[in-house]
Amino acid sequence: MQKGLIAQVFSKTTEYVRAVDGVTFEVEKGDVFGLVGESGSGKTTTGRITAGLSRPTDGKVEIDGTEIYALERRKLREFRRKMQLVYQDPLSSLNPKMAIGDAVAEPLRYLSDVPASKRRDKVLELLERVGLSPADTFYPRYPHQLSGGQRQRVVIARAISIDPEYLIADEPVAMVDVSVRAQIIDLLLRMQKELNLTILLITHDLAVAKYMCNKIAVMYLGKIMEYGRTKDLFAHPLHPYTQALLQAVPIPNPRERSEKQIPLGEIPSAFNPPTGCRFHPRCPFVFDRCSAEIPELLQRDTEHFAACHLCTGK
Amino acid sequence: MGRVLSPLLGKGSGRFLMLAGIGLTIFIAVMSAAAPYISPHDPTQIGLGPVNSPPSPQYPFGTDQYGRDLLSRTIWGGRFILQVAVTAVLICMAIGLPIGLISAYNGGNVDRTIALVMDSIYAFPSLVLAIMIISVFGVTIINEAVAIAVVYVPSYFRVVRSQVLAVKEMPYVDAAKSVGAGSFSVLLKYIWPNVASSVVVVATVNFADSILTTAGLDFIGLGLPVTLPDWGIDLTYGRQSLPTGAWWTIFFSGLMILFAALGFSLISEGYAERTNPKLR
Amino acid sequence: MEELLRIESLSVEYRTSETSAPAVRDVSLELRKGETLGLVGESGSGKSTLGMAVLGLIQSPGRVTSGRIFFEGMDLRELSNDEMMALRGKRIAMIFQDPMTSLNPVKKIGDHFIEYMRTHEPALSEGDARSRTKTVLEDLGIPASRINDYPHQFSGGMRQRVMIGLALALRPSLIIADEPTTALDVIVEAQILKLMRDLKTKYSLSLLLITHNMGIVAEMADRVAVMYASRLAEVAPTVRIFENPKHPYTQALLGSIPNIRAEDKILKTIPGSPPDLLEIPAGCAFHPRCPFVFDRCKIEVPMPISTGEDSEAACFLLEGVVARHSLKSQA
Repeated sequence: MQKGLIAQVFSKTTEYVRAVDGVTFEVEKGDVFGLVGESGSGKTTTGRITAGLSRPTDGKVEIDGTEIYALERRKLREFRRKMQLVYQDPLSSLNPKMAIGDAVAEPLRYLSDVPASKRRDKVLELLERVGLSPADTFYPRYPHQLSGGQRQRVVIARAISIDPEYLIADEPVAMVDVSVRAQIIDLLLRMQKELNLTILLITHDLAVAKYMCNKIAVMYLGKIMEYGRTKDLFAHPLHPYTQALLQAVPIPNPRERSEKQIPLGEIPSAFNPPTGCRFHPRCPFVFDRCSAEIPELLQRDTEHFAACHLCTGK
Repeated sequence: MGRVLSPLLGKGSGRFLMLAGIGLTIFIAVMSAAAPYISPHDPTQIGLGPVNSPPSPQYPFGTDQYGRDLLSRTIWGGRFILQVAVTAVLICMAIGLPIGLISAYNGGNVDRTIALVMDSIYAFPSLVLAIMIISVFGVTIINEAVAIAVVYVPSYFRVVRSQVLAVKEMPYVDAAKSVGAGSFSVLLKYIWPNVASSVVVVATVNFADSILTTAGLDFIGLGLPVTLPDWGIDLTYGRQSLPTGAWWTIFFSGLMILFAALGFSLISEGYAERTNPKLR
Repeated sequence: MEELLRIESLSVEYRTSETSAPAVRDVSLELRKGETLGLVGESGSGKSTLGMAVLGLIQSPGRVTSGRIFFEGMDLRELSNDEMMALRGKRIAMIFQDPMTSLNPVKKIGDHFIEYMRTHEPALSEGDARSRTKTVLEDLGIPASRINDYPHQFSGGMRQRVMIGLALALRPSLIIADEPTTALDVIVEAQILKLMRDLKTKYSLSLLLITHNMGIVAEMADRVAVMYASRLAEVAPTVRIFENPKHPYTQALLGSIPNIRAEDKILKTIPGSPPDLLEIPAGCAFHPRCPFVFDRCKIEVPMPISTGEDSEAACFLLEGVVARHSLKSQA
């Protein structure tokens, strides 16, 4: 295996909220790594930290062996060439007053050596690549003239324009029409193969995560509850929260209706998180130790980690 | 610019208002600019015709108390007022827009302080300030323009600032930064274009207001020398002829002031209506 | 089963001085007593507009242009404003997607219920209304002690429960729920769906569930109606529509959504995207994206054809099927 691309131990405190608390995971080159969680889980903040956009209060982010937050500003800017983001809402992530061709050219302008004369051709090539064909009719159009799926393609084209190594996709299909989602998922996976990208996929949609990712980390209130290879996580979920999530997802198959074990209550406020294990007030298997001691994220099986007092470690 | 002009397209009452306003404004601007060529007589010439004579084929707008042709005076009368208005708006924009953009973009305590200062200026009535400045520094196009501009800068600042505060949180600004755009590029290509349309409304209201203020200054005697052709002056001194039933001495100049202010106001109204999203 | 709601050839359009766009075109549906009908569609399908039309909530620039809506035998389009108002809440109630904007932030939760009940039943005393409210809160899984709290003190899921409670407060027979869980997290969504199922059984309700999520209809609905670009594409009992969808759109949609229980499913992409209602393709609106398109589809609009018991789909491909069926029965 190639050496670890990202190794991180970090937490970030925003005023009195620990949006991300003691999160550690490793992503290998070529992974499609899913950060799955509900609101307040800290998945978006974690994603932004790994992209170098948000400085953590503690801990570090290492990409390809380089600690990115130890770099000085200018060097960090250069490092940014390797990392790009795809945002959730394709409409608000594109400048409404800028033609999409120009928008895709922006990273080329600031972060690449492509000369101005060659930029347009490169943009046309990128537009074709993401399926916006014929590219020269799309170049001068404005975001409001495109459909949601097309806009998301533009965002992806912009993101891959400077040949990044690492792509962070934050809910890339949540705001795209259902019948169009498969196209975008397919496009992302294709780009991943063609460009040998490492993708961090942030989503609340377990079905999308299962389809796209080879590894998944499940987050709750700023902490990772479980992480491991996708097939292991779904086949043998170790953490009660993961188990609850898997049961709760509505399945598009009427034959799979069943009585669900749904945890009571809702996600508590991040300002006043529960003591010990953050999930304990809602956990069906809670016992004394859970409210007193925060469970550590320990390896329980091959490439499978869980933070729960119930699991017997390896 | 195309983005700003796009509300001109399509149907609806907004477009009609805008076109009416633009038509009026262009008419007045052209008339004022072409005054030396289209004015039938010298507007300052005393004793050209009989004193206070009503509109007639020879003098279609009649004459004033000095026997001057009112048609010529009306054609010439807008020049000063319009020059003041245009200068005032330009000064305002040159000051208010950059300050608004940069202050709001950088944010923080500096921004809050500037906003506070702007709010205090905003509270000041423009006419009073104008009177103060004119009394001290005398009447010139620049002075009047500056007086009006000072009071209007906060309007531009406020409007731009509120828009910038909203726009700078948008993901596309974030995206721009993450693809390496520096602050200047972000302001120029991402923030300003999305803020520009709100400025049009302020500018046109500014125009209308400065026309009225300039005319108002004339009215209280702080305007141009009495001999020069100016709608405000004619309105002021024309009053003296009113008791004799000479309505024409104030009618046409008053009407022109109305039209000028109305023209800009209509543009502003129509534009605002057109840039409001309608369908769903 | 007895019919509760019957929509006949309903059409709704949005018209301004500049443009007009159809929102619902010639849709006919029925909902039976005690059933949950899932109304599925993407943006622009017209599903929400249909729900609003039933309640008479279409406002300018929208307009119901034709069709009839029969509820418990009455044609709702014939009713006056006052009559319609009396119906809303008492016989038909609606649950919307975003509970935050539907609750009055300066009114206590309990008062929402009490005032609502007493407006429709003036004879009800304050005391009785209060105790009834406490019962409702219990039904909803909200501690009765929270009766004096304000909306902002409730979480999203609890507010949605309150909305459900308000919808049920006057014991209507039909509930229309428009994307009731879209704004909620996964686990709370499961809680709310379960709550809706339980309350439906307890109070013998009928439910029109509007959503874009096929998982939700699979779980909740007895029958499913699929809409696309303002028309009805297919209607069938739930199991049949998932296992044997007849309309190419339904087939394509089901083939493109990921399923955590389906191992090795490869998502099949659908080209194009749902049309802008200002520029709907002629003929069958799905034709630009349909793998089976032929010439007729581009010109003529397919009408719904029966494809089996309680099922119909609007597609020219099925005409052959019907013909074959009738040939078989003659042989």
